[in-house]
Amino acid sequence: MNVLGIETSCDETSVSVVRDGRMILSNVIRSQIEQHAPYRGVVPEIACRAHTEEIDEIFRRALMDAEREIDQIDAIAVTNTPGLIGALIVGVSFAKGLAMTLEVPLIGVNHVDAHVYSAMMADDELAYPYACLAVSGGHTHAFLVTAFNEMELLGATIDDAAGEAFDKAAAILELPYPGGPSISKAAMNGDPESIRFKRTFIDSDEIKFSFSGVKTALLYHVRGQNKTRWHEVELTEKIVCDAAAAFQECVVDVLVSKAMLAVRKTGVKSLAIVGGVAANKRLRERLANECAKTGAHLSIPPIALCTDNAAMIAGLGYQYLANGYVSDLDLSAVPT
Amino acid sequence: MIISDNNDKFTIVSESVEDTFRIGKNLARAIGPPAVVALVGDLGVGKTAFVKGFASGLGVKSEITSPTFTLMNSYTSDSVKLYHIDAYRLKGGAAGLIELGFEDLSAPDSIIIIEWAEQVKDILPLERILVTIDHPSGDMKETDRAISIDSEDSMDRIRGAITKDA
Repeated sequence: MNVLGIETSCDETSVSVVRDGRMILSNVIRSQIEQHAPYRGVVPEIACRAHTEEIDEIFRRALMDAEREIDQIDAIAVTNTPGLIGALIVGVSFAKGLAMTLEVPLIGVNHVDAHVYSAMMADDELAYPYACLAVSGGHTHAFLVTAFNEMELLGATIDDAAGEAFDKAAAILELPYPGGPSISKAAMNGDPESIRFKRTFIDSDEIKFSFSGVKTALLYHVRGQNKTRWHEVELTEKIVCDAAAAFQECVVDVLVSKAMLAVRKTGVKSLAIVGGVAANKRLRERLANECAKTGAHLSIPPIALCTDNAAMIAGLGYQYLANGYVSDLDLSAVPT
Repeated sequence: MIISDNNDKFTIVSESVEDTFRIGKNLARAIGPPAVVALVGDLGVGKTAFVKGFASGLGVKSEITSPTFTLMNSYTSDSVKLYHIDAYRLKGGAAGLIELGFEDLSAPDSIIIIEWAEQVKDILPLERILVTIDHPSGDMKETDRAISIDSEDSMDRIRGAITKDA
């Protein structure tokens, strides 16, 4: 069964064809980063317009890459929550038009649930139940996942998401947006031990995260606050690289520690890391080490499934369909 | 400690994150819906801590987190709807905010608090309460923040509520 997935919740337009919930026949992703980069953020107005302009072409390419004709599509799955309202509406409306014309079922999919499910698509050995850390620009959430539609929130950030912390750290260090890749790159030439940032909640037995304090500590470090006088210092390459490495190490330390805590607390055998921050190399290395030590199975999807993409939407959509859940044509776009 | 005061603006020093939380909470208790609170301040001054206190003062029970992904989070308490907007990534000024449905949010029972309000100042109503949080300057400690409140309405109530335990 071929499910066509559509994802337009934020600043990526993506359409994908997935067979039987796992086999990715195509996964076309067009990022709007270049359009938003001059603003160091997402411009909702630009996001909606770009989705509207590009979705048809992305849809045609997804069919072409999958080597499928339009009448070989058995169902349409679309992200309908959460996201930017205007951006979601573009995908949902397009999906409804397709479902109506093709007379196939429409399935509304939750973007975060789909990220969590994405681990299943790339890893045949991953089985329920598993602990899952969803880390992106908008989420730092740990879940216990027991079925495709059953997950329990174990804990989340109380302020900034990890990806957001990377973006803000990059802004402080005057590195390009998005911050994850640029901090990671600068960190390769820096000393992670050069500064010891406080690892918030790391000794706590609770699964919760806070990245607001380390951002402030970084700011004060590079701007040279010395308790009595406030002055700016020049950002030399060494200062930037060392600070990036120390910052990344701090965030990674916390994520690894809480991910392993989630595994211990739930007693599961597998850990999945999903979302854009799962692309971070240092995080991948450290988790691989920790999981090797404890014998836990580690599952991290390939990069194309970590960032926002429609394959995970089609994948989870298939599971819904196979279990008899479909949406009506009055499916609504829900921002939160 | 109040460091400056005139009719429609006063500045108070917060000595800790907890202090900032309390000032936010006291402000919330001094005002009622409808209201727009514009929060201005650099990275790391404690805007999120202020909003957490503010929400708690309104009786919101849920955890307040940064609304980066959707740019806006909404919460409800027994008496009000709270919309928390983070304009840090919301670029494009008024057009961006209108796209989020900002104009539909202003209802008799709604309170809107906007972080990085300077990015969208062209769309803020005149009756906004402007809260500016500054990093320490001069002889202030690293953990100190100067918090200024500027409002045309309810200034006496706001000043009273915020300075009562300062």
